[in-house]
Amino acid sequence: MVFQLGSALLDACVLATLNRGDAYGYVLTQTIKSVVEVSESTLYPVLRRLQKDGALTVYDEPFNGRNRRYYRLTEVGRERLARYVSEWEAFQKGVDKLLLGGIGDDQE
Amino acid sequence: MTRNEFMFQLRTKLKRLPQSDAEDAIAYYQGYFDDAGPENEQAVIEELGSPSEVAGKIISEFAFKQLENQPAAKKGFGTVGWVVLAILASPIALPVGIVILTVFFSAIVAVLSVLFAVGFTGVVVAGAGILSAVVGVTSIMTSPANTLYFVGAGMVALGIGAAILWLTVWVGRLAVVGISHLVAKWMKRRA
Repeated sequence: MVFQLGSALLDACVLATLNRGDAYGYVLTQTIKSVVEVSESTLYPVLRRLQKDGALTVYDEPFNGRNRRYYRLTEVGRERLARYVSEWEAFQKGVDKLLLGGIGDDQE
Repeated sequence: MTRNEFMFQLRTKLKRLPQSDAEDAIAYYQGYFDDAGPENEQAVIEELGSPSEVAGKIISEFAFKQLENQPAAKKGFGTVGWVVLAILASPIALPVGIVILTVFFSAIVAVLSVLFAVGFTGVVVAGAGILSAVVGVTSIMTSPANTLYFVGAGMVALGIGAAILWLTVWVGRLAVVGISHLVAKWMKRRA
């Protein structure tokens, strides 16, 4: 992929994925990876950071004789996601105008 | 590389972290391998990259977090350690890291040399004060007035010297922390 995900956008993607339901690390990574190019070693620190910021919490659930660690969005996380989404919409609109036409069309 | 080799190397590289943080990371990656299943072991290892890369990202994230979370008043010279760690562990190219590290140390050395000179002045003034007081005491038999004068002047000098020294240490601490933060902020923008 030509375009890269900045750290804010990556945070937003993780929050958005968890907004659709709790997930454990592997599934979360695979979901995000199906859309954008990102490696697991990038995601773990992101999850840690979001957790420390209080944007998500973790809980363990037994699975096949071991514990699987699930991530869940908190209220703080939901608020942050809403902010990211509105920022993204504005950003996307602007870039669309530049790339696909709109801004500069009436220039000489 | 097998999963066990990967995890062993990761564990070794994460030794610099506090134990609970290192264990969290280890548990996370163990879980990741478990969830991927044995048939995907090689794919996961390839996807993750080398254990040192993985550890580097975890450590640099941790170091930045550490820097941000320290309350300004309590920061001591330990801040320097975190900045060095953040620079060394961050994924930026090593030559760039070395340049940043050099600039960082030069700045600190420059500030500290100035402060050392000032601090040394404080020591000398304080020393002269003590000397003056001692000389004053030795002349107590011949001239008590002299004694009074020299001991008095000596005490004043000692006080001024100590004040200079204390101020120097205080400014020094502030400067080192300030520089560390500047570097950390600047690196964060690049990362």
